[in-house]
Amino acid sequence: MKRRLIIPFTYLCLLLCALLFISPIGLLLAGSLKPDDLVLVESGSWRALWPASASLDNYRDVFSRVDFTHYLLNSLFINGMILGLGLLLNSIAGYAFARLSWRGRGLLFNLVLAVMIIPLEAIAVPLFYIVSLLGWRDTYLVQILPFIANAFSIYLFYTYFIGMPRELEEAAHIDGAGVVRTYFTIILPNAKPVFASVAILTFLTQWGAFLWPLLVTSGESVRPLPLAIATFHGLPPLRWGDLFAFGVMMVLPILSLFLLFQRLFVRGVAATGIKG
Amino acid sequence: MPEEGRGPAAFLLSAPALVGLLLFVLLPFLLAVALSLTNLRLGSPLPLEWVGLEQYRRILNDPSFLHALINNLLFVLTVVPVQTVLALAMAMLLNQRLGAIAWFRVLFFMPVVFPLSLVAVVWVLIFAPGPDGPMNALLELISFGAWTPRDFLHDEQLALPAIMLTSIWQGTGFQMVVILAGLQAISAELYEAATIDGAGCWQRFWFVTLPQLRNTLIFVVLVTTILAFRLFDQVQIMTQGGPHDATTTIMFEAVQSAFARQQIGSGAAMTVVMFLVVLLLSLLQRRIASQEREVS
Amino acid sequence: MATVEYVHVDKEYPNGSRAIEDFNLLVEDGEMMVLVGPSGCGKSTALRLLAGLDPVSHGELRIDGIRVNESSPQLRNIAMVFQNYALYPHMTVRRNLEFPLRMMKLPKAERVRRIEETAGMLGISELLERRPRQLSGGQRQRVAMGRALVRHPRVFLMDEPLSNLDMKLRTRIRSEIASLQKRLGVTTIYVTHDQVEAMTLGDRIAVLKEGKLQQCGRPQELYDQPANTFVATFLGNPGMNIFRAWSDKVTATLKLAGGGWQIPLEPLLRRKPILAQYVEHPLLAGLRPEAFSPRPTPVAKVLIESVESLGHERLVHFVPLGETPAAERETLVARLPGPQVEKVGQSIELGFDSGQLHLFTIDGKTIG
Repeated sequence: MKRRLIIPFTYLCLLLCALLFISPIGLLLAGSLKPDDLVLVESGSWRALWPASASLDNYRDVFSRVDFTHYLLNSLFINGMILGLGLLLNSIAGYAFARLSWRGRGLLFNLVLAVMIIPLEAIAVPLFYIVSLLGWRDTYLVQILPFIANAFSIYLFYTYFIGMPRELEEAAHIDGAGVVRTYFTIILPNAKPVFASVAILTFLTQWGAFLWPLLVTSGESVRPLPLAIATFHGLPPLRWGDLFAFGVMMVLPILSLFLLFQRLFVRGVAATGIKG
Repeated sequence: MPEEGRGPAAFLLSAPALVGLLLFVLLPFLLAVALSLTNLRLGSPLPLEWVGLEQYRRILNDPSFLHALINNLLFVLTVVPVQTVLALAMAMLLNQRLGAIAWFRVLFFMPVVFPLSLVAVVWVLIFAPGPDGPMNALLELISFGAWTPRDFLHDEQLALPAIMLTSIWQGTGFQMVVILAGLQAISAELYEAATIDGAGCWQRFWFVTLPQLRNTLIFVVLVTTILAFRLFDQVQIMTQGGPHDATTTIMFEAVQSAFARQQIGSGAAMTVVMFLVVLLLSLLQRRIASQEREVS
Repeated sequence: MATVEYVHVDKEYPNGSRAIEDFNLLVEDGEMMVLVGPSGCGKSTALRLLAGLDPVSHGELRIDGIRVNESSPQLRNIAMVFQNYALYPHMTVRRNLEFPLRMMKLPKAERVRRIEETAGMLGISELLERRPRQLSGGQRQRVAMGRALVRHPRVFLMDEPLSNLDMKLRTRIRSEIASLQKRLGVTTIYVTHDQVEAMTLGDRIAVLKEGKLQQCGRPQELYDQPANTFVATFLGNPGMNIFRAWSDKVTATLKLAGGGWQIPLEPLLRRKPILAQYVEHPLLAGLRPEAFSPRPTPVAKVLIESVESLGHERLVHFVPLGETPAAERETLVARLPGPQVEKVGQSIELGFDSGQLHLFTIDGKTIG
C-alpha cells in the first residue's frame, strides 16, 4: 500500500520541480515568438507560456536592430580559440605533471593547485590594469589569452592521466615511440572522456563570460553575446519580444550542444566533484 | 618512463600552460596585493604613493562596501542552504530507477547552460512590477489574492531576494549533478546491509547517505559559497546595486571603484578582501573534508 | 639472437631504497631464462632495466656483449609482454601489431607480410579486425605476444604474462610459449612468481630474494641442490621442510627435529666431509615432502595434525614426537601416495630416505 503511493508522489515532486525550472525557459521561448506588446501583458497568466499567434517577426527585428551575426561570430571565435588552445596546452601540461619526471615538477604542481582557488574576480582589477598598459583593450586577444591556461583543467587532466595504466605508455616506449608521439597516438585517443569534460566545463564558463568583456571592451567590434544582450536590454525602446528572440538565439548554440551531448555534460560537471 | 633525457623536454611541454598561469593569474594576483597598498588612480595628477593599509581602512569605513559585505553574507546564508537542500532533494528524486528519469535530469540541468546575463534579463521580466508581472501574478494566485503587486527590483526589501531566487534557479542544476554523482557512487550493498540491520527510510538517509555524501556536500557548499562571493552579473543587469545599495556586492563595488571611478588602488583592495574570504573558506573545507581523495 | 648480460647491476631509487643489488647474470643466446621470486624481490625491476624503462644506477647491461645502458628501448631491439598486456585499446589487433613496425618505419608491404606471418603463427588471423575489448583473456594474451614477436626482437621479455588467466588456460598457454620459444630460438627472459611456471618453462632459473640473486641453474639442479633454505623452500609445492638438527659426537648420531629421528653421522660424513666442521653445532636439516614414507629407517613416532587428501595422494601435516617440549615442535609435511588412511590426532610411524637429506648452516647456507 505504502509503496504504491511512493511512486506517484515521486513523480508529482519531479513534475513540480520540472515546472519550476522549465517555466522561465518557456516564458523566454514563447515571448520570443509573440508580438512585442503582448509579452509583458500576457506574462501574468498561463498565456505567458503559449504564443497564440506565433511569428518570427521578433527574430527579424533583432537582425535589423543590431548586428547579431557579428556578436555571434565574436563569441564563437573567442570560445573556439580558448577551447582549442586550452585543451591542447592544459592537457599536455597535465600529462607532463602526471607522467614525466622533471626537476621542479612537485613545486610547480603545488603552484597549480594553489592558483586553482584564485577566481577571475580577484584578479580582474590588476589584470585590467596590465592589459590597459599593454594597449590590449578592445581586442580579441585580451578576451582569449588570459583564459587559455587553466589550473583546474590541468588538474582534471592530471587526475585522469594518473589513473591510466602506465603500461600503455611503456609498451609504446618499447615499441619505439617518443614522448610526443606517445601522447598523440596512445594517450589522446584513450582520454576522450576527460577531454569532453574539460571542454564542456570551459564552454559553460566561457560562453556566458560577462564581467571581463564588460571591463576590457567598449565598442561593438569585439564584444561577445552576453554583453550584447545586456546592451540590447538597455537599448531603447525596450521590446521584450526582440530581447527574448535575441536570448533564444544566444543560448541556442550551447543549448543544442547540451541536448545532443547531455550525458557528457552531466559527466563533465560531475567530474568537478572529484576534487573533494 | 626513464628519467634521463626527458627533463628539459617535459618542462618545455608544460611551459606554455605554466607561463599562462604565471602571467595571467599569479602575476595579477601579486599585483592586486601590491596595488591595494597604493593610491593608484588612472589619469590622476597625484604621484603614485605607497599608502600602506590606508585603502583597506578606507573601504572598511565606506558604507557602500560594508553594505556589499553584508549583502554577500546574506546571500551566502540564504542561497547556500536553500540551494544545497534543493539540489540534494532533486538528486535523491533522480537517483531512482523510474521511467523517464533521464528526461527530468535534462530539464533540471538545463538552466545551467543559460548564460547568467540572459538569465538576468529573463528574470527582470519575471519580476516586472504591476499585476501582470509573472511573479506578482503567481504570488497573488497562491495567496488567493492577498498579495499586492510590488516592484521587486526597486524595492529595498525584495531586490536582494529577487536576485537570490534568480541565482538559485540558474545554479541548482549544477550542484544537483555533482550530488547525484556522489549518490551514485554509494554502494548499493551499504543500503542493503542497513536494511537488513533494520534501518528504515530515514535512518538509511541519516546513517548511510549523509555520511557517504559528506565530502561531496562539503565541496558543493564550498563552491556555492565561493560563487556567492563572486556575485556580479545579475546585479549589474538587474539592479545596478540599487536601490540604495540594497543589492550591491563586493565585486560590484570593486568594479565601480576601479572602472567607474578609476580608483585602481581601492578596487584592488576590495578584490583582495574577496580573495581572503575565498581562501579562508577553501582552507576550512580542506580541514573539514576527510583526507581520502577519489581518483577517477 | 643475442646474449644478455647483467654485470654488477644496482638499481637504487631516489628515496635510497634498493630494488636490485650487485646483480650478475648471463643469459645465453636462444635460452629461456626464468626470473622467479616472491613479490618485491626485484625480478620485475631487473626486466624493466633491460627493457630500458628504468635507468640502471650502477653496473652494466650488455646485449651481445655491447653496453646498452644508454640506448633507447627501440635501439636495444627488445620486445616485452606486459602482465596486463597493455594492448592499445583504441586500435584493432592489426593496428596493435602494426604499431611497432610503423615505429621502425618499415614499408607497408613488409608490415603486412609480418603481421600475417605472426598472426598465422599465433592463430589470431581471424581476430585482426577486432578491438582488444572484444577479445577473451587468452586471445588478448596471444595478441600481446604477437605484438612483441612481430618486430623480430633480439630479446623477448615477459613480465608475468599468464597471471591474468584462469588455471586451465594458463597451463595450455604455458606449453605453447615453451614450444614457440624453442621453435623461434629467441633469447627470452621470463618473470614469474609461480615456481611451477619457473620449473616447467625455464632452461635455467634465477631465484631472487630482496634484490639479490640466490641461485641460478637448471630447474632440476635447483631442485636437487638448492644453495640455501630460501631456494629449497621456494621451489616445490609444498616446499622443502626445514627443521633443526644437532650432531652429537659421543653417540655419533645426527638428531633431527628434537630427536624424533636419529641417524648415524658416519655415512653422512663420508658423503660430505665438510660436515665435520659443524659437529656439535646447531644445524638446519631439509627434507622434501616426498622424501617421507611410512617404512624405511629411521622411523620416528609422529602426531598427525591434519591431512589434505587430493585423491591420488595426500599431504600429511605432522609433528615429530621427540624430546622437545610441545611448544617448540615444528610442523612438517609429507606427501604420501594413495588415499587417506590416517586420522587427525593419531600418532603413526614415519621415516625418510636419508639419501634425500639436505643440511644447512644455521643461517641457511647449504653445507657441502
